[in-house]
Amino acid sequence: MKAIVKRILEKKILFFLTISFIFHLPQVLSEEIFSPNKNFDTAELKYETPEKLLIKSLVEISEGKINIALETIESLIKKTPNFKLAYIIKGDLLLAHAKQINGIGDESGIENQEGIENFKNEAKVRIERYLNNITLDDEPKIVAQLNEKNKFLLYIDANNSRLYLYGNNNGKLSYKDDYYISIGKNGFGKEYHGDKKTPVGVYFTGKKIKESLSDFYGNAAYPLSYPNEIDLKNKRNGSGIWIHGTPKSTYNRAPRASDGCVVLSNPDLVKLSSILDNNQIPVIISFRSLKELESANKNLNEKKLSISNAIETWRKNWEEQNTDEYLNFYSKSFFNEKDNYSSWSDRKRRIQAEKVNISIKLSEITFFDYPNKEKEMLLVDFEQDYKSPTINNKMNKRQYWVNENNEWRIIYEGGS
Amino acid sequence: MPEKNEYSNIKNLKGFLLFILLSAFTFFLANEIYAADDFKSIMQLIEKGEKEKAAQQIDQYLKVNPNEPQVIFIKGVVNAELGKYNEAIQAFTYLTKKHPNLPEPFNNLAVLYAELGDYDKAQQALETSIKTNPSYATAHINLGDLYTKRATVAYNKALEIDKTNIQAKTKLSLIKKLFNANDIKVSVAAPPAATTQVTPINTPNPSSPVAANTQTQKKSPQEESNVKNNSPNNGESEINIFITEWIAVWSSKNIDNYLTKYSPNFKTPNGESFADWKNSRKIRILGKELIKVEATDLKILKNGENFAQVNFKQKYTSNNLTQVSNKTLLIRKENSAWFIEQEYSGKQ
Repeated sequence: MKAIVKRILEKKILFFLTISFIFHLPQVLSEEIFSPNKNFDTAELKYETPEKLLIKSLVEISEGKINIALETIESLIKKTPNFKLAYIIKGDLLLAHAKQINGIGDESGIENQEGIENFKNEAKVRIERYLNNITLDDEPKIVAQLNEKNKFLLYIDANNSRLYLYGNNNGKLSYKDDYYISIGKNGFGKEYHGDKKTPVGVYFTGKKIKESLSDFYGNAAYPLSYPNEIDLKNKRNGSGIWIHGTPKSTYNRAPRASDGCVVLSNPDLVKLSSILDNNQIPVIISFRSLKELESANKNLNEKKLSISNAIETWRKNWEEQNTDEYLNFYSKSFFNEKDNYSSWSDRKRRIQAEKVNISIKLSEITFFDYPNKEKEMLLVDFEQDYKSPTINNKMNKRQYWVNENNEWRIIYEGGS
Repeated sequence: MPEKNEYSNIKNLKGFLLFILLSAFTFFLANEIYAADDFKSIMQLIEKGEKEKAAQQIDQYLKVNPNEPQVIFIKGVVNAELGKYNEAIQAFTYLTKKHPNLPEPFNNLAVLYAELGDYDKAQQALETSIKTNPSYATAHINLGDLYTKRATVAYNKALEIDKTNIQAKTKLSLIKKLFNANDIKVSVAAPPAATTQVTPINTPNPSSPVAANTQTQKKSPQEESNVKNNSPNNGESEINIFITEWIAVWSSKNIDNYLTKYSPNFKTPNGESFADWKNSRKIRILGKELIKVEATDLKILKNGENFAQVNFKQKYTSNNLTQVSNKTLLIRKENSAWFIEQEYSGKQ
């Protein structure tokens, strides 16, 4: 008889445990994913992109709707059968019926811990995108000026694996779309060939690579102009930094997976292609999130105006050949392919000593915040129309400006 | 294949007396006893492992007594163990329709559906058995295992290891006897390593699980030859010591000694160089505050004097993770010392 009683008790306990496991999941997973003081905008989820379906299921988990979450995940998998993170979440949702789940993929029995870390990080960056309290429709606090020719800008938040696409709306950036991306295995801040890092800076996309590429690069590949003038000055090397797609076997790669390239999901790359095919799209690859830019560039309009003014004053002083004022616009650490500050200023003084009548017109001025840790920096591009009695020269010019004690100064100037 | 109406009238409920014992079920009452000897002999055949013969006798028996739930149940179990899933499913389905309050046939149906990969039907059957008997522990355990199995399938898809890895193993329990107070449970997918169940000759296992018949894994030549060398000998204790040491140096994060356990020809998991692999192990192991590794169910399969496959259940605990997996090591003896040449794990 004792044995029977014991068995009945065990059954009761097992039943109780089974029930309690089911209710354990939402709390645990939601603690990992959703911190209590973050609000989630469910209106975001009305468009059913694979990512939004994934987020929807995670929101459902956080609300304790396990079975609905599983349905969402299954519809996502049906739609995007190579979305690996979805399978991990599905596994967790199923396993939660049998045992306690402590975190994404933790109980999967997967030995490859790096793999699990990758999935956790991917889930984190994808969710963060929806929790960061940024109103994307507001003008972003990116110090950048587009023009009639340069209608688009890509801003990459390398820390959070996100690429934002902006258009030009009367001189203001307007949000178009954003995408999950993968960057270098070892993160960002490329220094040398083989360091598996994505460069930080401002680059321009080149022509779509025509050679037939292996499936590894997905639907298309566009080279980036790394290394640029700043990189070369800093003796950074390496090459072949591309924006490209994903092999067919997977919807996306881990947040940090490439050898330095920026990798998008194929469907996202296809969406972007119509823009990238235009060539020379500026890409800011930054260590700053949009949120961080908000606090750094509170007075965005004033800042942009001060930059425009600085450029115009520099032009005017050059045209009027106020040599001291003109040279005052150049940093002591000025460089270009053939000059440093003293050789540059010597030459300019020599030329301007003759006081020839010149006219200088600048058009199609664009500038872009150049992510830089020490000083604020800008990349400035324009078309320069130089006329003197003997010379009539139109050229594209590139400058890098830095903020030195609240004065904008040029550290690089050259043809581009 | 029996017709549905073969079991259609309830008259003979004989062998039931053998099983009623402590059971709380009372709605089947025996009214005849002459078939008891037949039933007894069926059970004896099953105990001896002569399942084919038992199956024949069961069919004979049911011709005379077509509606005896015990015997239909046993028919299902025996057929399941013989790999005749259709007949087993038919027997259990019949029982679930005739006796929807009995949880066991639902449970066994679920086990069979799970074996066939039809997880939806398996889940439905288990949920039905729980609905009628909310405290039926086996169904709860099996439901948990079923979820685990489905989870493993999902995880494997995420890691693309579904093709390369050892098939995920269910451990759903097939109930062997209806109304048996002892509630004998047998793990369906008991073979802990592919090697133990590969050939029918190698199955003197009375509680031989259903899965044994469905193991479709490719047999490597090593595995086949292992069967012969399965008996313990002196070499085994040497290997035992090697494994114990390997676990000890791993657990104590004695990285240098740990790495000496691996052969320079070690086949690295991702095809990286041995040096790279050693480096990553170093970082991984030294990066943990605490590592605890335990091995149980150790099985050594020697292939010749200098080569062996070692299977065991590995419980790995670190600061932030506990995981149990089936581990396989391929080890080779060189200059009187053993070295690991390959290491891989199957899912638990």
